[in-house]
Amino acid sequence: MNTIDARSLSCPQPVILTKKALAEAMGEELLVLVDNETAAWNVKNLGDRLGYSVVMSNPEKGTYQVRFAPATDTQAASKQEGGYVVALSAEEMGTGDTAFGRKLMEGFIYALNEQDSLPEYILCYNRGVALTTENDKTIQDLKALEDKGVQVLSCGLCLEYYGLKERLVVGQVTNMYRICELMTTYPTTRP
Amino acid sequence: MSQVLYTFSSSHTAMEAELLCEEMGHPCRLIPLPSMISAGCGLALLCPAASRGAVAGLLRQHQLETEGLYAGAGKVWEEMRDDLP
Repeated sequence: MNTIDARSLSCPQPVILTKKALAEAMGEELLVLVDNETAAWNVKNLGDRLGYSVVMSNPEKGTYQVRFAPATDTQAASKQEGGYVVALSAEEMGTGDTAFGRKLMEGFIYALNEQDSLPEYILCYNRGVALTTENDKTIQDLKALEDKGVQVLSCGLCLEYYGLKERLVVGQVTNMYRICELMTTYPTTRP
Repeated sequence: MSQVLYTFSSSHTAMEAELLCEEMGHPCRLIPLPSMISAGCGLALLCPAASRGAVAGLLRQHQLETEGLYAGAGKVWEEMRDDLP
């Protein structure tokens, strides 16, 4: 089994190294070590998206293990078919009256829950991170989507910029590489 | 959970109603008007059924006129009479 020790490396290095190693591993098992939970989730989410069977564990303080079993063709293919991403870049939907735009955004996320076809990922960036941190209504609906298997990801840089890092209550933190990767891989809906 | 839905003739009234409910501590929220009720656009106020009487009274007190009242959940709603004070 190949092992990557990405402890002490800062985000997004663990993800970049993992992606490179997966490309080179050619069907072998891979073990990635990181030193914080956010990095572990980012590495795990990469594996999930690429169709790997990924197991995350925390065997000792300061070490998280992310173990990748080789992807099967079926798993990989199923990830590519029919999925889409929803990108939320603001607290409001569209431009115009701010309070009304917020109601529209809350309505959109509520209505998304009612759809037969759910997105693979919801990406929140720029002021869109308010939807995973400050707005109780969107938080409630995003949690419901998460319970149905949708991955909700908030931009870590944006959380930090707006002072909301400690207030994230739904989904995980991600980085620009992942956001870029997802938006160029999946059809993207922008309300 | 048993819920009721108020509809309004304008989105401004609906937004005013939600704000009022929030101020008075009622756990109500606006949702897009379900297609089963109307094919048109609109916002409706979703409230726990237990708050029905209090919310109806509050809306009347502030002269926020409702258009309809429905009971149900998700996509399925049935019209009902708002006969509580």
